[in-house]
Amino acid sequence: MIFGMFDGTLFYVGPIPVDHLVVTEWVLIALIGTIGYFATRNMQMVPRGLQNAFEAIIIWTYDFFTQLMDKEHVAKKWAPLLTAFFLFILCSNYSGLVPGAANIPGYQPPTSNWNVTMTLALITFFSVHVAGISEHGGHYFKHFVSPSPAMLPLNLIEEVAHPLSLTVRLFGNIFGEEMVIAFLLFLAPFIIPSAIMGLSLLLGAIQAIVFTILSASYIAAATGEGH
Amino acid sequence: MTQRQKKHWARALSDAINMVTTTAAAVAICGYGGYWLDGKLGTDRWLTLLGVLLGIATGIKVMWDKMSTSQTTFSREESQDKDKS
Repeated sequence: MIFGMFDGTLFYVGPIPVDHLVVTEWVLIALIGTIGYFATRNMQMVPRGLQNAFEAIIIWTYDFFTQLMDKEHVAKKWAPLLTAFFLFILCSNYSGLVPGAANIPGYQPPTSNWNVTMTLALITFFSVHVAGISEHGGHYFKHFVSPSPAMLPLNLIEEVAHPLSLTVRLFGNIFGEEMVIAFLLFLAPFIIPSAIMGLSLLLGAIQAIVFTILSASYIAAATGEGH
Repeated sequence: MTQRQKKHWARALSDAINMVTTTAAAVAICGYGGYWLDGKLGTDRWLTLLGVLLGIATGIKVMWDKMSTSQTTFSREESQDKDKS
């Protein structure tokens, strides 16, 4: 184990090994799902409490993604995925700050492992092309040779660069932040790490927003009129 | 703040992040690809240099695309505003 980074298997589901990252993700998904269930269990015409908060979030995200994308129907179609990205990444980033989490052997926030961030980036990658094809049909592939066939290599490099940039930025930021906190906890426990942990609240939110905005931007570009 | 200004704020932020990160990733991918090929072919850093230049060219192309898209959107919205008034 190096500074809380532990890659051991906790248990097996049949032949599939399950490590602490997967368990943490399950817990986060269950948490978000449970809150969503209670928010929508007994929907009222005049919203109150959790339903009110969730409706505010949904309206705000629809509005935000409509601002980012040219076409309102595209924004409405992809807002659920993008909002799920935001909530999952935000909870993931903050999961390292839960009191007592550092005492769990091998615990680390899922987004501080590049396997998780790469998976999220690949979902974005495929979603972008699905969005492009569903909007433009076969004409979508013409953008790879636009404005001329000579640009094909650059367009292909750009497509590959998108998931790489999403992966490395999110992983690098959260992993780096966890490393800094671990070093400070080792050098000077209690007071000094809490300042960095306060900063982590801001950093975690920014990274979740940036990932979501970039995913929305890629989908907007694939479905836009330029394609 | 009007709806149009709000739209430009959100889009400008996403375009800026998109351009920077895509350029950095393109330079990294092409640079590493060139470095790997140099090791395989023994071409003494030439392919690394070529890869980095290809990555920079991709970055410039991304910026050009973003700027021309923004310009088109801005012109269209301006003409829509003129039509309304």
